[in-house]
Amino acid sequence: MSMAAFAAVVTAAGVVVSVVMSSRNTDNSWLPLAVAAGLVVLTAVAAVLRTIEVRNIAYQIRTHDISYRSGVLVRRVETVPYVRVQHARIRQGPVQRRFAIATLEVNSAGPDLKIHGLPATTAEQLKALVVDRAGDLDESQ
Amino acid sequence: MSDFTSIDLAVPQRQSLWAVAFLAFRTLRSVGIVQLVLFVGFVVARLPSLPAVLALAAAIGIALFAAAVLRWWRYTFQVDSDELIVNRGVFQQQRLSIPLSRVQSVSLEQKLLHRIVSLVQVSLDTAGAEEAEFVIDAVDRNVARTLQQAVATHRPVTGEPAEPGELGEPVPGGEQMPPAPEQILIRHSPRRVVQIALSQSPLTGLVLVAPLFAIGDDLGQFLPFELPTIDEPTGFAWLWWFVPLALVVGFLTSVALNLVRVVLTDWNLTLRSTPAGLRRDAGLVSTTSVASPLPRVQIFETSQGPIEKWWSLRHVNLATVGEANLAIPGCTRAQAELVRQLVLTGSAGVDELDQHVSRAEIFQGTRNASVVAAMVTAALAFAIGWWSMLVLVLVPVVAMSSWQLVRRRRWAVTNEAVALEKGLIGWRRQEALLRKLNSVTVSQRLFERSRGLATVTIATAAGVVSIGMIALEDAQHLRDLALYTVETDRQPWM
Repeated sequence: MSMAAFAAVVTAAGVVVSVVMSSRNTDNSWLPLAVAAGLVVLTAVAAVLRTIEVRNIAYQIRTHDISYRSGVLVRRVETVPYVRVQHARIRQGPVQRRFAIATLEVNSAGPDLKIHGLPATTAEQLKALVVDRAGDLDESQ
Repeated sequence: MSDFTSIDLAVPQRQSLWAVAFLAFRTLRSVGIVQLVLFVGFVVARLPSLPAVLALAAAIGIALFAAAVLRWWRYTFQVDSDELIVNRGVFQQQRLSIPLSRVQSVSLEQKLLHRIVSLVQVSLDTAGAEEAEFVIDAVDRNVARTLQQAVATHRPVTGEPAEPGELGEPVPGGEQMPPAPEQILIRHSPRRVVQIALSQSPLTGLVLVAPLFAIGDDLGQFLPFELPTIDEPTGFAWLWWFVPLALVVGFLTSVALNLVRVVLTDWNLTLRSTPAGLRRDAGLVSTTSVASPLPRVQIFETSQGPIEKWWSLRHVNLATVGEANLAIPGCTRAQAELVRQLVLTGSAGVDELDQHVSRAEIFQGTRNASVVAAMVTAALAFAIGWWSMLVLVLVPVVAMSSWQLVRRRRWAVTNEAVALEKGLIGWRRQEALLRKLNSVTVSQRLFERSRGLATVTIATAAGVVSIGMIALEDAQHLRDLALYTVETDRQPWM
């Protein structure tokens, strides 16, 4: 279950609970408090899940393809062969810049492969490697 | 048709003069019709007299017309070796060059206005470009067809030359043929078009009346009879005849509307094989023509609903790179197979689907349904008492249907292709060549992980084939096989 779905479920549950409660009790002063508490719980759960996920995240470079393993509740290994790579790019947000990490995006005509949390220098090297191999394979074709 | 080749696209072409009308409308739309109406309303409210209003309207009209003529004058296109070059812009001249190899498909569309002046609108679908779809408003049909041909016969340099044999038509004597003539693969009769309409979900027709719901209240006054009200002394008795009647009338209306919609869009649906690929033409008042080279087809999909089963028809959909999928509803088994063989281009497809998915899915479906039903029962118990137990009836229903779903879900993989079939009442089957793969994912949900199961998702440039609840080893084997095929197969994937 993705975080978005999780958030949606929690929000929906919150709405149902508040509607049921407010129909019985006209005093709604506790509502903001409940919402705040829900958000705190949500953030805590997300943090725990993310911490577990980081231990599981890994990437693999092989002769013909690049793979990325991720996920907590749903674990997945995505693989893109270099021959199908359209382009690669690095994304670095302000927080990521602060910690000198970056996200490498490998774009194919299908879904994109995104490797999060790479050290910025490693991301540059990986990008060069992917682009290089993709180019080589194009010529040999 | 006869002076097909007499058009030389190397010479800059201008659109038909009628394009001025379309360009004017386009300008109007880019300004924003709502804004314009508001502006006019704003001004009119302040203008002293009718002549002033008319003068203003004339001024706007003339300005619009002049702008459109200028745009038309400055808009030329030509094909230079392997690029389509478009020059446009009134004040700021813009020169676009679109490599023909990047054009995914060329659609010709004839709207009612086009039909009156016998012109067509050309849309070039260029996947990934900043302007995903590029439109030339109004050109002569011959120019459009020549452009369609020019794009279609152009293959990427790494690709193989187009062979007539690829199109399922053996080259007699192996001699060098001029480009194979167009061949009609499928042409639907009016009866078949009606069958297509009737076999679709009746609710699709409601799309046409959806806007009416918004003004439903106001429509009530046009009804020939008085709507009963709940305050009547008869109580709710009228509901017994009114609700079924309303349902039947609504159902029949939506079926009729859908029939109109399908007749308008799919009339005379024709699929042709041309030297360059496939072309689909259809439509009654406005006709559309979509052409796509065969290698651009990524997934071959067929499906059959309950009513289609009755007539033993099936819906064929060719998922292609870019926006223009080729959908051919109402095919017979033989027609579907003909198209499938063309799309496979000599590769071996999957003929028998002999693999099943894990029965654990039945347990998962039933378990989830039980939990939800128990919660709903408990919640409703406060409101309706023991009647809430009725919700639990859903559990065996879900159990039965997931049992059927699992029984009917079959898949198979060969050295060249993967196929998946599923369905409860009807069925849907996807088939993709492994070399079309762009990315592959093996994933495990919690439920799958504890049982050594996995989901494998083969992603192409036009959709995915995703097989869940199979043994982890099978999923990994399928992934490795697909990756190996991509490594070793040197045929272009599009």
